[in-house]
Amino acid sequence: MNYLYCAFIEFLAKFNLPESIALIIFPVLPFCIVAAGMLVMVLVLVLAERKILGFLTQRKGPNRVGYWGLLQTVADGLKLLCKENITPTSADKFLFTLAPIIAFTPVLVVWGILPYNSEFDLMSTPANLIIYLFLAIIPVLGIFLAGYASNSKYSIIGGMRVIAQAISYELPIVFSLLGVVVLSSSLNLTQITLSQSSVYGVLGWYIIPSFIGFIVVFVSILAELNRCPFDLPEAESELVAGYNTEYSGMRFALFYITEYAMMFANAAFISVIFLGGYLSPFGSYISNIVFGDSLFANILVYFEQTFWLLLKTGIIIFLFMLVRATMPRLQSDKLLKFSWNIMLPLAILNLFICMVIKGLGGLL
Amino acid sequence: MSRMKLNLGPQHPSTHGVLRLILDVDGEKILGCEPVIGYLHRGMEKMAEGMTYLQYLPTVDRVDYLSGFFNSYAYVAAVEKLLGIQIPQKAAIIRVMLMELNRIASHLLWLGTYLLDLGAVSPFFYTFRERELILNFFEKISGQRMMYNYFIFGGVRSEIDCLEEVEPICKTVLAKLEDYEKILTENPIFISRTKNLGIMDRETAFAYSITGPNLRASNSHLDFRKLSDLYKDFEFKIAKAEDGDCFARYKVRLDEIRESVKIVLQAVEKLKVAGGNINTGLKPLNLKIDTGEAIADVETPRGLTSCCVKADGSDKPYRVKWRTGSFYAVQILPKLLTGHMISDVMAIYGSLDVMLPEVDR
Amino acid sequence: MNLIVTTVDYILNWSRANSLWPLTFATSCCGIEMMQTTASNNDIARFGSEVFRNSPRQADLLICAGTINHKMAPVLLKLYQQMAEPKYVIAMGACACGGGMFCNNTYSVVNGIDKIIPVDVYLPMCPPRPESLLDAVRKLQAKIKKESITKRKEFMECHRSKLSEKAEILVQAPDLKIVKTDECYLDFSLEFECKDYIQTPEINYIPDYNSELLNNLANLKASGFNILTAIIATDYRDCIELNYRLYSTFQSRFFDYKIYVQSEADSVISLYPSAYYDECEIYDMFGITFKGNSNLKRLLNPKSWVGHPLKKDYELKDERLVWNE
Repeated sequence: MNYLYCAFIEFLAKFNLPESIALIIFPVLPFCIVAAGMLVMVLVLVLAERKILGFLTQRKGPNRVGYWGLLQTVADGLKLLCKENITPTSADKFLFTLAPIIAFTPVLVVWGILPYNSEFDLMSTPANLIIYLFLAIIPVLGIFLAGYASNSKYSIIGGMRVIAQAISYELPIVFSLLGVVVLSSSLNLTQITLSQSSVYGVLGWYIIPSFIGFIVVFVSILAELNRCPFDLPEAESELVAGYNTEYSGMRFALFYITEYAMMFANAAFISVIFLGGYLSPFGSYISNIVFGDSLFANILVYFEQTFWLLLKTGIIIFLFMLVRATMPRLQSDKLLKFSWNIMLPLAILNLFICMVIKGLGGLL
Repeated sequence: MSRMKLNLGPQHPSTHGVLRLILDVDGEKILGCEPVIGYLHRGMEKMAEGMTYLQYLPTVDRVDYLSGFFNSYAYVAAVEKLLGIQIPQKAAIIRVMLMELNRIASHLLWLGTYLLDLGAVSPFFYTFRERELILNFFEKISGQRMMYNYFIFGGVRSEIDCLEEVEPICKTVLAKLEDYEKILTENPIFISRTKNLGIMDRETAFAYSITGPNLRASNSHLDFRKLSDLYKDFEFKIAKAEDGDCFARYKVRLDEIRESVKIVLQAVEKLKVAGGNINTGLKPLNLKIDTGEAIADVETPRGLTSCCVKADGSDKPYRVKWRTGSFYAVQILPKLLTGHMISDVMAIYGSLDVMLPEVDR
Repeated sequence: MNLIVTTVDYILNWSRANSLWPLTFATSCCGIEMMQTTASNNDIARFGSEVFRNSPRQADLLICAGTINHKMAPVLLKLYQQMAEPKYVIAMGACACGGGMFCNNTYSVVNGIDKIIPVDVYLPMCPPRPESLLDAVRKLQAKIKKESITKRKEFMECHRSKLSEKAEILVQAPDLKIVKTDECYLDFSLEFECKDYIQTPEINYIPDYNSELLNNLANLKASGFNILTAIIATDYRDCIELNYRLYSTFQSRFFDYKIYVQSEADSVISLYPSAYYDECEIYDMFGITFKGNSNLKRLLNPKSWVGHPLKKDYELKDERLVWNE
């Protein structure tokens, strides 16, 4: 961080601006970058999902708006922004408006926690893994509120399902993460990332000792995100549109953005925990291999690190989409049984394996 | 959550039309269900009384738009019975071939939409792709994709001049069927969603007048094709399953596609050598039929369809009555759904393959 | 000022035209072609319209695919009212445009949905090909691109008042009251008594009201006729014929058992549960009541319907419900 901060002060000095301005602007600036990046990323993700689903089902997907359909989601967003906002007369008007905001706000913070590269690490508190887990569950509360406030039967069933699902699948996630915490002896996402670095690249990642944990977290995060095959809260063929049945216009768009932003955040979270975050899969960074240890190479490394993180996240997201195109939906009762009977024991087994590996590592 | 009424439909994504189900639920558990039908009631039986025999012919395709040929056949066969005419051999073979192709198309559509109800997106696109091949063929011979109006009193309307296209279609369908089975038959989620769900035993099915694949999935041999003169020269097995659950109904339909392909291929071989007329040359414009009544039965993809035509000597039917399979499949829904979860409603309802136009007529 | 309005119009219309999310609303045949339009061969996704929303709140486009009858009309109006502005309608298929095949000789079909809701694009044909639906979407896009927010507002307000008038007329049509659970389900769990095999009786015609119907059908059932495929009713003006069409899976044959009644018959649901819908339909269409069937209701027509359509003295009127234009 210091390095960037000095560069920023130098940048300001060119315009004859005092250092105190940097003191005010600098902490805010990264969050603005994150927020802007998030909106762009959501637009990209929605389009990517439609394109990839189209590709998997032998269709072209949107291709008329802008070059190759690139502006499709921009048009969608603009339209939703200007659409009429309907509040049903029977709804709880205050909660009905509040729910999408509650769902959306924590997503911004969650994006700020993730370490994008070794400098751009905004909330590197000692236990930001815990903070992440707490914040990532808040959108569920927003969704439940939406279901409750709409006062529609489909919505309330969707809201109930979301709570049941979140409670059952939060536990396996926590237990699997405990395995990683044991391996890395840290609750800090940056520390966890760095402890995966080794000269052998991929071999140092926690996906290898804690492969079961990776699978459990992947499946559970699918459930947390309400994505297929766990998309029960908005099961289109059963509950019409689930919790957001009564939402229109911008409030609906907020749920939409939350869904995709959380998808990206959680995918990035998986890659930080299990796939070495921003580390290069080759042990050392390509920039360093090509340009040596020059200043230029060191600056390039930051971009490379972000690139690796985005690439890993992209792969995870592609897997999410692949699953969506392949699987039918589970039943609600079997969904819960699946969590308690299979996911949780597996997560505990994983924790046990991780402890044994850690113990062996200590002995050797 | 306490007890409440949940209203599904008439505009609901998975009812494939306009069925309304009033569910009595406790949380997610279904305590009772009342189907409400009639949202697509078009009065087709009354309509017949105001039209001549020929005018009514194009409309019968709409009784069940996924199996237009079968409805055409039922009406046309009833009128032929009244007139006492025999259709030429070649026309009979063409009818069999087209009806079986239609059965394949109908079952393919069922498969795609059923999986859409279960939450799987892709199979819908795949089955529609294959169905399109069949529809293109139908369009070439009849000029329409869904409402063919191709069977006429005493035979069929025109020669088939693109017979060579049938065999490739059959081969593609068979090959793709293997793919579907690979995705589905051993998919644990699919199995858990369909096995031991909505079980209907044979006696219940008889009591509720269930016919077609739904009945044959409940361990019965009843297939009205075996009674029909039309099919007596064709060899095919009756697709059958024993469990009576949703998975059995899925298996039966997939097996039926295979059997239908067999029949189609036999028909193609027969048509290659068959000669003679394709219709009796009856002039249907001012057709008047003496007093009498005739009922024609046909095994459609959704069970037994009977068309009862009563004539009174004028040029208009005195009464036309349609008996369709789906009408009775809706009736059994309360019995099948009670005790299951909301997620299972669509799995069970979808497995019965109910077509609403057929229910409401 | 004008410049600002036109620029805003341009951007808004561009976004609206390119992001038409249709409502999943299909009543009949055209719905299948609509599904085909989303499928691989025709792929409506290219125009950004593959996002079929099931909730009317999030949809922009109501593709009315199929016939609308008098029972469905209030539902259609309600759906349209539930949609958020701006909303557009494509009347797909001849039935939705003007009644199509069903505009004559029938009693239950609304001749064109424009009697209920405003329509932007008419797409006739029975049913339209997927390509024509794509064309209709393109036409609608072209129309939207010519719109102006100021005019749209006027249009909206004008239609709001008209629609609420229509809603008042329509409300009386469907009876949305729900019967208590304990009453509305038939208990079909009756045990059948299996009698010994009796020779198939030679009854085909019983002149007047028959007290023997149940007995005879019970005999037939015991002799193997285990499926009641249908009850076919015909109005012969002086009496109504009921043809109980039985099928035996043991003998592989049909048996027509006919009776002639005036206005009342015995219910056979205790023997053949499948007769329940048949009897309700006959009650609806012919006005015959069935003794022993305590849940007779109008099955196909709305509960408030007057008359029994399949009786020969039923007069067909062009419009059963009068719309205020």
